[in-house]
Order: sequence, then C-alpha cells, then structure tokens
Amino acid sequence: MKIKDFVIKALIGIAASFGIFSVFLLTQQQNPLVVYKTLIMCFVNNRYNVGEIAVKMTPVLLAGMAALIPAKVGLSNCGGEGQLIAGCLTANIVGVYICGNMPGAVGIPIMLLTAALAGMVWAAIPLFCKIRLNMNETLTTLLSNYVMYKFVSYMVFGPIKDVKGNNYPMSAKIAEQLRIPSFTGTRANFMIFVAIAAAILVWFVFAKTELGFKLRIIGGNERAALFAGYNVKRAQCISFLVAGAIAGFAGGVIMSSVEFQMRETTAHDLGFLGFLATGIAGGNAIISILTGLMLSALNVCGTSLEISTGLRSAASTILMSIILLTIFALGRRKRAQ
Amino acid sequence: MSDVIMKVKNLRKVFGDFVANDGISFEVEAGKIYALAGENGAGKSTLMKMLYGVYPIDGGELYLDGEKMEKYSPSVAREKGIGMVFQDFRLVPAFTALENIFLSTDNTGWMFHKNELRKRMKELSDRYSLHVNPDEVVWRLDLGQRQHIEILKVLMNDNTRILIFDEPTSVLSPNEIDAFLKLLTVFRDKGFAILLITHKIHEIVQVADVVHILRKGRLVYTFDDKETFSEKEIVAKMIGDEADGADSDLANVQAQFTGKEDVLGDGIDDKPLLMAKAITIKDDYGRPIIYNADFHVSAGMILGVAGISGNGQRELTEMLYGIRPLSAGKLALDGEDISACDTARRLELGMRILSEDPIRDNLVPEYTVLEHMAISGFPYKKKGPMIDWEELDERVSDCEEIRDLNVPDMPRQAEKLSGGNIQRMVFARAVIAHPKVFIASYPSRGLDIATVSAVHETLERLKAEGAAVIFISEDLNELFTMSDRLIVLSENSIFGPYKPREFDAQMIGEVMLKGVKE
Amino acid sequence: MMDLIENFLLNTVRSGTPIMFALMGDMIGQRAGHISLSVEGAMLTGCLVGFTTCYYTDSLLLAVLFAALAGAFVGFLQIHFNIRCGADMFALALAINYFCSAITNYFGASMVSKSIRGFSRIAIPGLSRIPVIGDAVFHQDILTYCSYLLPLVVGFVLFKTKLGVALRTAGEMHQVGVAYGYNIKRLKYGAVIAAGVLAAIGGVQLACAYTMTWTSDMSGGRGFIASALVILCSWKPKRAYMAAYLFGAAQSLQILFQLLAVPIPTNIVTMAPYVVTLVALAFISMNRNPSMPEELKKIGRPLEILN
Repeated sequence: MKIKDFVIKALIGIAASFGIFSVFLLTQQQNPLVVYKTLIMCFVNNRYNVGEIAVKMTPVLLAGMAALIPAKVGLSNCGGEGQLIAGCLTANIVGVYICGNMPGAVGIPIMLLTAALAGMVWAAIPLFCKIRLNMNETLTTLLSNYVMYKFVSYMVFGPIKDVKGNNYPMSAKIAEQLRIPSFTGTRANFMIFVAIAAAILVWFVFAKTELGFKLRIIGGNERAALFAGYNVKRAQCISFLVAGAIAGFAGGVIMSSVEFQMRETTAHDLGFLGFLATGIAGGNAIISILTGLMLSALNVCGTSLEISTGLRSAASTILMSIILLTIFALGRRKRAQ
Repeated sequence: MSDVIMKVKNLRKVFGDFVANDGISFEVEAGKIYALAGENGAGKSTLMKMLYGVYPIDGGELYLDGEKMEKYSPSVAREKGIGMVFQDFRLVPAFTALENIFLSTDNTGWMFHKNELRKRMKELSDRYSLHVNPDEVVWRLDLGQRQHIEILKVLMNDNTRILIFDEPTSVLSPNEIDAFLKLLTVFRDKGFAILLITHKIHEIVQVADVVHILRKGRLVYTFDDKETFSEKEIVAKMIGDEADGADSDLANVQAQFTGKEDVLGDGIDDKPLLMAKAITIKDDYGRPIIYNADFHVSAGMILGVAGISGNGQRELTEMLYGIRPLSAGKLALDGEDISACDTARRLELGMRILSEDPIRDNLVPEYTVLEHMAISGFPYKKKGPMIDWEELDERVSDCEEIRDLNVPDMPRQAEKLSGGNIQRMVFARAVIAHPKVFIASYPSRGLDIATVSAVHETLERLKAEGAAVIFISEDLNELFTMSDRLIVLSENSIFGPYKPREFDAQMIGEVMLKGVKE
Repeated sequence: MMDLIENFLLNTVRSGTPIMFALMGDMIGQRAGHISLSVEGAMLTGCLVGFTTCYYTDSLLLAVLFAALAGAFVGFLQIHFNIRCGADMFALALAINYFCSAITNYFGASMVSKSIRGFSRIAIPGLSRIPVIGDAVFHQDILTYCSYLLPLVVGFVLFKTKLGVALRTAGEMHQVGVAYGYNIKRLKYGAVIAAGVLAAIGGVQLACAYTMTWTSDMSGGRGFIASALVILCSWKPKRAYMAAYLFGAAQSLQILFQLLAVPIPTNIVTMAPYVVTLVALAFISMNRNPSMPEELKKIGRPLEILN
C-alpha cells in the first residue's frame, strides 16, 4: 500500500470516526468540540504526555513488527500479546532474582536478552503446533495469550509475590540501577528510536532486499516458493521465532523502563494494540509507525480526557476502535467478482 | 420427420471490441446429432452459452418451438427443455452424487427427500445406462462417472429435449470415449437432439449427423446429413485454405494419429540420463499412488507420459522436482543419486518444470512478470543486499526465447494476465535456463493452436539440444505425435516404455484403464 | 461424593451452554466458508445487553431479542467489511472484538455490582429425578434446554434442506453455487450474522443464567475457544455435544478441585479450558482434516481470482 493512499484513507477514517464519536459524546452529555480540543491540547506544550506517547509507542510498534514479519511469510501471529507479557515477566524475574545488584550496563542487556528469549520460547509452542501438528496458528496463538494471562496471575499470587508488598498480588521491583534512564521530564527513553529504527529496517528488508523478495514469495504463494527451491519451513520458523523475540524484547523494555514490577494486568493490551496497528497498515512497516503513533496518542490522551472532562478513559478506547473499524471499512474489494 | 425445436438467425456476440460470434444461423431438429467443430478460440463455447442463456444475445434471434425468445436465461432454457452438460464439471467434490443432484436441479423441492431422489436417479441411471453410486462422494469418482452425474442432472428435468455437450471427451480415456459416443447414439435414437462441441475430429466422423464448422466466430461451412465427410475435409474447413494444411503438426494432432517413425533407434535406451528404480510415491492421504515402479529418460529424448487423470501424474512431477518425498526406491540423475536432494539442488543440476497449474504453483500475487523471471529463472546481479532490476530487465528483454514465445511485457502484474499468458511466462522462464531435464505437465491445456505449436516446437528444440524431456498429457494423439518413448501411469504402476511402432490407441487405452497383467 | 459428581456435572452443562451457542454459530459460518473470530465480541455484547435488559425490564424475552440484534450487528460488521471492503477476516475480527470490549466496558461500568433475577432453572418433571445426571441435564434454564436442540436443528438445516446444501456449497466450491443461481453473498451474510446472533444469545445465558452478574470482558476468550472447537468437531453438528461439554468439564474442574482440595493453584486450573482446547485441537489437526470445507483451506491464499 502506498503511503500517500494510506494517509488519505486514514484522514478520511479519522474524520468519519470523529463524526460518529461526536454522536456518542452527545449522548453522554459531552460537548464534542471540548473533547476534541482537550485531546489535541493533551500533548501541545506537554512534554510529559509526549513522552508518554513514546512510552506506549515503543512496545506497540515492536509488537506490530511481531505481527507483521510472520504475516509476510504467510503466518498469522496473534500471540504478540502473550509473547510480550512473557518477556515482561521474565525481565522482572531475571532482574530481581538474578541481576540483583549488578550494574545497569550489565544487568539491563541481560534482562532484555532473556526477555527476548522468553518471547521466542512462548512463540515456539504454537509454531511447533503448526509445523509438526498442522494446527491453525491464529487460534493457537490467540488461546496461548489467555494461558499467559493465567500464568502471570499464578506467579504474582504465588512464587514471585513481593514479601514486602502487603500481600498484594505483585512482584518485587527491580533495582534502581537496572532501570533504563529516561529523558528528563518524561518516562520516555531512547528505546523509542530503537523501535522506529527497527520498523524502518523491517520495511527496508522486505521492500528492497533480495532476502525480502524471497520471503514475500513465501507469503504470496507458498507453492511458488517451494517450486523455486526455497526452504519454506525454515524461513517460516525463523520469522516466527524472530517475531516472538521482538515481542519479548518489547516486554523487557516495558519492565525495565516504566513498570519495574509485575502485576496481574501489567503490559496488557500492548501486544494486541500492536497487532491492530499492523492490521490496518496493509503490511507496510512504515505505515505501522504512523498507525502505532496514532493509537498510542489516543490511548495516552484518554487518561487526560478523564481528568478534564470526567469522561471515563474507556471512551478514548471507543474512539480508537471506531477509527480502526472505519479504516477497515474504507478498504476496497481486492478480488474481482 | 422434421420437428424443428430450435432455430437461430444471424446470432451475434461481442465483448467490447472483440466479435466472438457473428451471423450464425442454423436449425436444430429432434433425433439428430449436430457437431460444432472449430479450433480453440473459434467461438464454439460462446455460441453454446448464448443458446443456453448464460450470455445475452447481442444481435440476431433465437426461436424455440417457433417462438422468439426475448428474456432468455438459463432457467428459461431449462424450462424449454435445453440441458447443458458442462466441460468443467459443476460438482462439489465433498458432496455425494445425490447431494450434487439435489443442489443443482430445480424440481427437487426445499427439503432433501433422499429416498425419493435416489429412486428417481436409479430410474434414469437404468434407462440410459449411466451407472453411478448415488451415495459416493464425488472426489472418489472417476471422470467418466462424474460426467454421468452431469448428464443425469440434465435428464432430471423431464422437459429436456436438447442436450448440449461442451468438449465432453477431453478428460476421458479411449474406452470411456467409446462408451460415451455410443451413449450419444442412444440419446439420439430416443429422440433427443444433441449439440456436440468438440475439436476431436475423429469423434465427429464417428457419430455426427450434421457438422457445423466455426472459424473466427463465423459459421463457415455445414456438412449436412446428406453429405459424407472425412477428417481431412473437416480439418481443411476448420483451418481454412491459408494454412499449410495436412503438412503441419497440428493437422496430425487434430486428426487421427497415423504413425511415427522411431528416429532415435534402440540404442538410446541404454544411456539413461534420469533413472527411477523401484520408486514408491505416496499421495496426500498417505496411500501409495505409485508403487514399486521404474522408468528412465535419456538425453535428447521426449518421454511421453499417458494415463487417466488422477493416477499419480501430479505426485510424480512433485517427486521428480523434490517437493514430494520418495517413500521408497531411488532417483538418479547422470549417475548421481538425487533421491534425497532438495528442490534447490535439483534446480542447480539443471531440472526445470512446467507445472500442470502454473497459476496455483508459480504465480505470486502482485509480482510483475520481471519479478517472476527472477524466481528460479534468470540469474540476477545484486547491488549490495538489493537486486539490480534494471540490469535484469535489459538482459531479459534482449532474450530470444522471450520474444519467440511472445512473453508479455515485463512491468505487467502477472496475476492480471490471461491463463495462456501466464503459461507462456512460466514456460519461457523454464526454457531460458537450457535445462538438462525438463518436465512438461499438460503444456497444451487450454492454449490456442498457435501457442500449442510454439510449445511443441520449443520442446523439440530442447530435445535437439540434448535435454531429456518428460511430457505429460491427456491427449493420446499429442503424445503419439511428440513422444519418442511412451509410458503409462495406471493401477499404481508404470507401464512401458513403448516404442513408436507400438503406439496404438486401442492398446494404450486398455493399459490406461486396466494396466497390464504380468 | 455423589454430591460432588452431581455438582460437577451440573456445572459442566451450565458452562457448556454459552460455548454450545457460539460453537454452533461459528460452525454455520465456517460451513459457509467464513471464520468469525468476532463471536467473542458478539458474546460479550450479548452478555451486557442481556444483563442490562434483564435489570431494567425483567423480561427474559426482551433480553434475548435485544442481545440477538446486537449480535446480528456484530456479525454484519464481520462479513460486510470482509466481503465488501476486502478486510482480512482475522484482523477485522480482532478489531471488532476490541470495539465490543470498549463499548461494553464503558456502558457496563454502571452494571458491575448490580444483580438480577435472571433465568431461573426449570425442572423437567420426572426426568430431573434421574440419579446423578437428572439434575445436571433436566434441571436447567430454558436457554440451556434450547442449546440441547441446536445441533439437531442446525444439522437438519445443513444436511436436509436446500438452504443448508446451498450454504455448504458456498463453503466448499462457491463457483458451483453461482453456476446454479444461488446467491453466495447472501448465504454468507446470513451465515455470519447467524453466528453473531447465536453467540450473543450464548452471552445472555452466561450473564443472566450462569453467573447472574456483569464484569468487564467476562467472555474471557470463550468465543475463541468456540471457534477452535468447531475444528475439533470436524464441522459436524452432532459432535458439538462432545466439544461444548468437554469445555464445560474443563471449566468445572476449578470448582471440583477446590472442593476436593486438590493442591493445584487456582490460577493454573483456570488454564484448563484453554489447554484442553489446544490439546483437543492438536489431536484433530494431526488427522489431516479430511472434512474441512474447501473454502476454508483457501484462506490466506488469494489466488482464486483466476479460474
């Protein structure tokens, strides 16, 4: 999909969504204009909020790549959510119990690496099911997200529950020096640039390189790839595992830069938002940057909305989902009828 | 006895600028078999679709029982007693024969009364000897039986008086063809009118009462039931006087095979290039579709592969190409055991393939023709991690084979091309590589005469260059004309190789059907 | 001990009902060639709409009606955006589920601590006294009784009526359907909307008969499980009994284990339904699915454009 086409589509979609959302707002006794002004003012002259957008966008964008890369080779990875959380959990456990008092320069890379490995392992299970047992990976990855939710619940109520935590279901916090330093005045850190660079790299590989040319054949017509002599299974496996690792890495970043401890709902929805951001980007990683930005911005501004207008922050989620659906609705029938 | 059921006057059909049919007039009487002959693309199918109401008529008139048809459609046609048996069987493979009939006939009600329908089916089956097990799922039935279901569908309508058949014998074995032609005479004698579209001349000569010849959309000649006609005369009218006539390979392909000399001599069999010994290949369900068989091909030879569809042709090509594993036995190329080699290695060793379904097996959505050339075709140069597309474009466009085979332009999106063009593209890509072993799977399927000629010429050229060519086809005449040796896939075995002096339709037909008892 | 088993069976049936509804719904859709992962969102929406209607009107009929309408809307979004706008059916479904979650979270906030009278259990005279299973099978709410009939009704329609055969044709080889004048589009729309409706009614049972409460995201993946279970059933309606109550049993393990004081942590036990579904799916998938509707095999391969 060309970027220009997408931007036009997105603008129309957003405009239409704002229209539909206005109707909703009126039923909630809110003035749409006030609401929209608040949304926009949310990050004008507000360094902290801009930082928050970066904070959200980093894992969302990375999880988006975790969905996009397998899609290019014909696989559907809906498990970015669980893979990210697996990474988050692992980073916490490694950070608290293994890295303990190590200096940041050593501890942080270890945390992030193990987080990536955790994501990869969690992705390997549905991958195995697909390759060896011929199971549909969309369903297995979706269901495995729920298993990971329950696993985290088990962990924070049990094995990793913080003894100093007043018996609340949460883990211990990782040490100060193991936290990625943030830019002053915000919670954001340089990882946002890593995420954006990763997206650009993914785009470049698939759009311009020989490797990408071959990989896209697998996603376009698996049989054609077989007939061309490519090792399809190997390429698919590597792509899927890399995707899991990226999602896990994103979870590690979240743990060591903003969360610091694990609770039942830590890092929820980030992987999922990443999947959705890619879902409307039509397989184009650069566009995913834009959609990831949009979703993150709306998500962040939801909270400030609640503060100033009393409209529950759940409303901004409604707006986000309307925008997603409208962008889907603006697609055109791909097949000739 | 002249009951004219249908009459057409100056029928005309256009698609945009293209005139598919023009000025066609004839009558259809009960109790006669009308053959409609012409090469691929002459307009036969289009004409039939107009007679059945699938295509609207752009000019001229259609009369049924003397009444002019204004709002014509397939349901009106069926009501008036016209039944069409399609070439691409309109059957759902996962359903039983009975379910398919329930689905596709109008007068079976909203509820599925299995026993009643089964009774009706049996009645018709017995009356016309069209035996099919109503409760068998269609994917397990052979093509002859599937055709029986199609015919039964048409007969379920008690009004049916005219039966239109579109290329009915293209997928049948020689014995099934005989049975079918006999069936046509049974229908005729029972008072049906039969319209038979076909390009198989010798069948026309066998059964037709009247022969209409279509060329470039017009009805150019009619042999009516008072004349006698021979194959040569029919072919001559089909091609027109401009072409080379009886000389050309295509005349041979159209007409009955008349015999071929074994130019290679017996010695060639001693020096095989590709050899398969005691091979067993399993199908998608794990059953051995080819069991403990042997065959070989030598350099500079065309090995024809005959057999009823579904006897392992696809599985064999997939095995040769490395996509399907060999369950037992050995495959050797030039003395080297390649049984376990992957496709990439076989490509390196000089194997190329034209698959039976290039759209399914080779087409990548959104990729251009140029990009397809880069896939296992032309070696390309790289600029760092990127492919040098400009350089590739230049080299490909300069290539002789690309021009000769009329490959479509490089920047076009391959998925938007016609079937024939896609075939040309894939064929050219394979041939450019000057392969040592070339597997051509049903290369002429669905192509017009000119392209089929070009394909045959190219295969001959490959053979002259010393390649071993494996040529799979369902058309015995084509196989007899092109092959130096012939093997037959049947009964989970490979029979042959037969030499040209042994090429006889009757004998080979029997092998295709029942194999050979050792 | 007997009490325990009876209790376990009772819960198995009760918690199997929402799955049965969603499962049969998606089976109809999948038989027509379309996988509706949005049955999750439809069920969730049905939960809230049903619960709210029960709370304000005490009318069970209205609850089912309004929920069905909501479910139909969800189903409509799923099929319409896919056929008309070319949206990928999985990404679209997840976006729809996100929308349903957002809407229900927002509007459901006020319903969280409310309680309703809901659907009461009706005992079938005589049969409900059968030892062991009587209570579980014949002493349930009316929606559960309806769910017993679903596989039979759906099976009848799919295999014994022209509508059903035409619908299956849409899912096996739609060109044949088109050739014989069936409106494939309309059939698919109908099937997927039916999936939404049934899933939503399942949601009504979940909120108004089983739990009698509303909590956010209460469907908890049941819709996805139902979609997966369609595969387990090899798309055959009668197998739904086995699949739905397999889930129900896995779900009820939690209560059973608690009562038996089995030392497996609760949170691990709650994984059971998902794990059981995955394992069951593994078994059936290894068997190369000979009964999978052909159109489903083509999903993700856009090459049927050229024929």
